[in-house]
Amino acid sequence: MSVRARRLGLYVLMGGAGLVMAFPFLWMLSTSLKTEAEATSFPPSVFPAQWLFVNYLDAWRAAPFGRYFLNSGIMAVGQVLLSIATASLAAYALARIRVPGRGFIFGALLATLVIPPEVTLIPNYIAMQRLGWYNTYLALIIPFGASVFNVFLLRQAFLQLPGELYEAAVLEGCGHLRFLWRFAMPLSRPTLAIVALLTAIRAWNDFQWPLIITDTADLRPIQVGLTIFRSDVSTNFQLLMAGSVMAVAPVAVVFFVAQRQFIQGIARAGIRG
Amino acid sequence: MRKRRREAIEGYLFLAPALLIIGAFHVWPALYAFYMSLFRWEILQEGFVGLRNYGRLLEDGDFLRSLGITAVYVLGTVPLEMAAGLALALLLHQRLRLRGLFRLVYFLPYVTSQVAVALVWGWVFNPSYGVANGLLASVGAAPQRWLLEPNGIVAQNAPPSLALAAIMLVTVWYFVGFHAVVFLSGLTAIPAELTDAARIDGAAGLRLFRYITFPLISPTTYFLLLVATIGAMTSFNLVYVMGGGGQAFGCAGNPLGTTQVAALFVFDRFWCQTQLGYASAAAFALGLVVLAITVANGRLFSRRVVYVG
Repeated sequence: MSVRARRLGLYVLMGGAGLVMAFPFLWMLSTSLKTEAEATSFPPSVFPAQWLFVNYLDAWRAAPFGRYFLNSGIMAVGQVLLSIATASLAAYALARIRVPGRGFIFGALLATLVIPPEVTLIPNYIAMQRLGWYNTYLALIIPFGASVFNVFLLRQAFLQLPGELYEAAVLEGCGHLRFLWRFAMPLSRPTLAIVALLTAIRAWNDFQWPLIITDTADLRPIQVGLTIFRSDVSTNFQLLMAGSVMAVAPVAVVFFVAQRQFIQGIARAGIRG
Repeated sequence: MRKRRREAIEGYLFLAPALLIIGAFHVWPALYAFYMSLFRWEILQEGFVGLRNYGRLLEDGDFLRSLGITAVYVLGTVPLEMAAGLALALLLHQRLRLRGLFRLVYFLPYVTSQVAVALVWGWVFNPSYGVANGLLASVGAAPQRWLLEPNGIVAQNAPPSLALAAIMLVTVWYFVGFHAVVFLSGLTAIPAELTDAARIDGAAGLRLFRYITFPLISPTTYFLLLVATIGAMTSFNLVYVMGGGGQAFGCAGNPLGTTQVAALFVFDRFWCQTQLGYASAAAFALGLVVLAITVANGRLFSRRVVYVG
């Protein structure tokens, strides 16, 4: 086989796979622009006869999407800020401070990764009730305010900092906290970006936890709102697809812009949602 | 000496916030789940029942069936998504134009929310207007009920039902990009001298893959196997939204419970039937199964993993 034919074959293979992977998204977009009659005609048409962008306005008006987005945003930003603070401090201690038993602590942290979320779900639900956090932002943010993966990633980054840097800083009278804030964190900005991205997207896509600890629309994040929207619009599939597009769009945009950091982060930490 | 102690105290203070949150909302609840499982606990804590909830589980046909369904779900998704992910990674590893674009597209499902993609696939599989039946009609095949079809695809009453099979397909679609990206980073880490040397010795194509590439990425394979198995054993969102969640379906894992994986069973007893003690027992038992399989995976495969450098 000639090199050329081989290359062509590769492109066909990759293009075919790409089409399969992208198809549901294209289908979602196509349906979201159809009239109700066209969406529920069989066999389905591939492209909308006319592009009804007004569907998005209708969907937006049919449910408190603005509030859902705000809640998801608060949840994501809150988790990112808290998680970066807790993970940076812990990772710095594990990488740079002579703490007795730090090997054990790190090992114990990694061991907690085998605890599946199903096991902690019910007790955490009870805990939120008892703390009075049920249906509040605290419940959406605090329990996810520290992540072993984030500690792991930042520890790697802090370990790579040159030791002389710290010694020089100490001579200038710099303590651990100031060194972390002034040098270690700024120098690890790429890793911090990865940590922030992964945490934000995880928060934005989270479903089961917000489903059980929110009770009213003014606290509900987008993923929970979307499942309620499904039962509200029932057979208006074009509206349901418009709502789904809106829920996916922010993450897709962030992903397109920051895909390099993102893919690096996944490859390094291997996080599975 | 004093300085040492001060530094240690400072270190513990640095660790405290993270350890506090992880301890309070991740480790303690796992222990508390066991405590809850020892009680009759509907909405409120009631009488102590010892291990009786676990005894009940062993006789509960729904629970045992959910374990079976979970096993089918894991065995039907993990090997497939890993194999397809590796194939995509090998494609992406070639020196080709548009590589970045393809990688982006393959990976896109993994960053989007499982709820949204479950709704989209639910629409694709809609029995009346869905594009899946549209494709079947275009080749003259009979329409299917997809997510509403409780009959098995292998035998009528054996899992997976067509509904579960459809959910498994979506699961593979969702995770394949993740495997591809992690495999790709494993492939990139193989030192070029090794593959070059093997080529000079006449290895190429399948032989190169079998004797050089595959053994060298075995740490990645092992890692992915572990993560994917744990993830699939506790999979909830996709199954819940496509196979029984939401007001339209209730919690049961429709149709006829054929998509009620273990995580859905736990959620059903907890959320829909408010049997918190019993649900905790099921959750804790599921956790133990996950732990056992993780350890078994380690025993079985870690010896076959090759580390270089």
